[in-house]
Amino acid sequence: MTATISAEKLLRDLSQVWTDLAKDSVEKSSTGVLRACAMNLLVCVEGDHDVAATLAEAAHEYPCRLLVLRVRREPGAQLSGRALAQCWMPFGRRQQICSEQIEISAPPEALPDVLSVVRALWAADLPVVVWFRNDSLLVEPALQLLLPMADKVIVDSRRALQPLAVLAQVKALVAAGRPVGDLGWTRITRWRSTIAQIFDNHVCRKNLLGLHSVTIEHTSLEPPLTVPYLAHWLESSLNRELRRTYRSTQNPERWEIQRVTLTGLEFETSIRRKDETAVEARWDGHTAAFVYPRQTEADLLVEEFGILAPDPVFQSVIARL
Amino acid sequence: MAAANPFATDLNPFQDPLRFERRVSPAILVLFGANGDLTMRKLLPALYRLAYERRLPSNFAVIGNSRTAMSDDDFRQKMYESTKQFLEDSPFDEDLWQEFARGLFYVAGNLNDPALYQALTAKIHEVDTARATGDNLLFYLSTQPSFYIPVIEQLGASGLNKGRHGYRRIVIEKPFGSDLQTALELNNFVRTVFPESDVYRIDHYLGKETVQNVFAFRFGNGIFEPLWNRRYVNHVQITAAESIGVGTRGAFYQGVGALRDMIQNHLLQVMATVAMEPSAVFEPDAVRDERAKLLRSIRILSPDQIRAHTVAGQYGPARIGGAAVKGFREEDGVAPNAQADTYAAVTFFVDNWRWAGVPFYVRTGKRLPKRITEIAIQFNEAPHTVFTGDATNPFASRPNMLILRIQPDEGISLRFLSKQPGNGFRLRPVSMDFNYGTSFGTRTPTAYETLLLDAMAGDSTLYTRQDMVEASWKVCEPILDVWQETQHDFPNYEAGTWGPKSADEMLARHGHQWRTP
Repeated sequence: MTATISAEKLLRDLSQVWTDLAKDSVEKSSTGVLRACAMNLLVCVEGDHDVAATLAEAAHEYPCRLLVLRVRREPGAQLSGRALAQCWMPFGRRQQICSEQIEISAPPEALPDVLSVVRALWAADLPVVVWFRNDSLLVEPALQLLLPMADKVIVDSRRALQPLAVLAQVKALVAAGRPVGDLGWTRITRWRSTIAQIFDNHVCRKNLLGLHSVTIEHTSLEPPLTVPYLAHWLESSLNRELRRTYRSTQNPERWEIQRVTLTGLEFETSIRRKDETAVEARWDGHTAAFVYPRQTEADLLVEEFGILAPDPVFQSVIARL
Repeated sequence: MAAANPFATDLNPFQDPLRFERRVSPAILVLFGANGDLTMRKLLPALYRLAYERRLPSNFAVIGNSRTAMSDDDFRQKMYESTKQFLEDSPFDEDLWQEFARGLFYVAGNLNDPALYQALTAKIHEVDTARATGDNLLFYLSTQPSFYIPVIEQLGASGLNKGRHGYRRIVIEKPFGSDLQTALELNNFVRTVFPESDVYRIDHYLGKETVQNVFAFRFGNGIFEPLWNRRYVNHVQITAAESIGVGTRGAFYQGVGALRDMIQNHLLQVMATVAMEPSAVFEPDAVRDERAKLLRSIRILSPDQIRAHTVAGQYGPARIGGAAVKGFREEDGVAPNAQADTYAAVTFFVDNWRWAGVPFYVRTGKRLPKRITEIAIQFNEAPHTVFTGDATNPFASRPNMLILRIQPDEGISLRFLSKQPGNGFRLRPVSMDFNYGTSFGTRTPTAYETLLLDAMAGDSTLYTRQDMVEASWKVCEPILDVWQETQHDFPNYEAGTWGPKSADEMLARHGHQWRTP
């Protein structure tokens, strides 16, 4: 018999989850639970990829109705769905906060049937963010039909098996005027912000006139997309081309970027990853450390959740690539 | 519009306002009273946190001053210890502190001594050169109020109030005078040295996220503002309750009192924010014009009205949770017959079209049952009740209430009636909640973080202006005068209760009662 899922049943199950949670919580502490929902998040993920910890962490900052769509390619995979809630107790509080989750598993051939269910499961009037956790799903024809429904699409070129294909998709989405976020771009926000901070100083800014080269050291064998993103952002910001050099240090520490050096006529600024928590910048005889903890996938998602409009800086970089 | 020239050195081409936090120009913060409680508990932790959030330029600097002789390194060590101790809701990073501390400097000296200002001038020049702070100076008066005029006078005499090409701004902590006369004197004096546009009178309540959210709530939504007037609002209650007593501040507090300490500044500013007219634009002077207009519209009570519409209270001893709690008069440094108000409640009326006839009940007190600050807006009941009220249906009629919680658990709740599940038609009040902590899981910046950054950015929206200070003194001074002449029968409320009975009676006369927060 072919398995089916029904949006109505999933919503009823979800309702029951809340009733049980409230009952359980009232019996234990008489404070109840707080149902929090600030947006819809659809996560498209391959098979058993574990996203629970990431989503739980991100939900602390953006409680949402979470729909996890698992595409199962193993033979005999069946369509199924279940409702659950992610709860946590904020420090010093007596009331649990819960974010709701519906998980749907589907074989690829069932994906077209799932779309109408997904549409019915959105919490009304709230933004919809779709995160393609695996780049292979970005090209699934059925899932592409989700894109017009999304207020934002999130991909991750850094984790992609085919980053250039992801870049092509990002370009297409940008061209279509859709807000899109690439966690590969999000990973360099702090590098960019450190560079910006150095050039807040008007004395330093004068040196930008003679800036001609950028050298980016990275720890991978081949430069990840984050590296050209950073270089092209510099060019886009300055509105001119620079001599770009990408160098692999093959450092056992798997940083995205190890060091950025900006060289001008009488000027050199370098920012290097110092350790797990900080980068160190040197310019004009000054040295400064900047806090830069290693970011989790949830940190990156949270940054993207905060931006639901098109990102003009990212768009201008994409246009140069 | 022509594109900005990326090579112009007055613009940083690497800005990304969508993702980077707003940062400010490099500057030196000259902190008078750098050895005091406010600096150690609030200001330095706020600055450190701004550095942690990368919202301060890396060459930002602080020059602290107090009478105590200290080297730069001693000052850094002292600030290190206090920041580590008082930093709230935030991790402490040793490496970042080392970096931040390189921008901390110290000059010892007496505030009345012109030599201090010569030493400051030299230090400012040295720091400005070494750290390229662009000749921007922000003076912060975190001293005893009696030093405000001498410091400002010396800043003028030494020429420190005038920049070569950078800005000169001054932040003044409350109290802005102890009555209307002293407020006028202070304001008039400040004006001779700094233009009003460079004076930042800090009222940290206005920096609180939820107070700022009142603007967003009222003027960003279409559904509330039409209800925000005498036709729909029955009355407004503003409560700022503290569960603690005066502690070691008894001697100081008995010369100030709750009305002066809280209502004249914080709570009247909050009330003005709740009741003001919308400004045409969200710009500093436009917003402050409307707040000032509202403050000027508050009815100044006659002595007879003051007796009917105000209540002074003072807490007496009690046992709370099994422990004995001292009354105010038993606190250290407090006279056994002290007449200071540790509780104040006032019924204000706003004489304008929007609010005519709507009472604004404002209360504050120490040793109340819990620490809470909130604004409760009670709407009129439904004009006709179709549900029968009896013992089985006690909530057949109940007014809607909107609660804006300022602290703790910042958020907004709307109370309305709902049918209780089951047979029959019994109604029950339920609450629809928005909670800052859960809808936006990110950490809320402290009021001082917000306000310090605003002052450095030249944004005075959340600061108090001279005319606002004077208007609020005009409202409060007659009350203080009447209370001064009255021999109060204190203590009139037990510690751990919601204040004197007469405060309940004050509302009962209008057919209202205090909400229990």
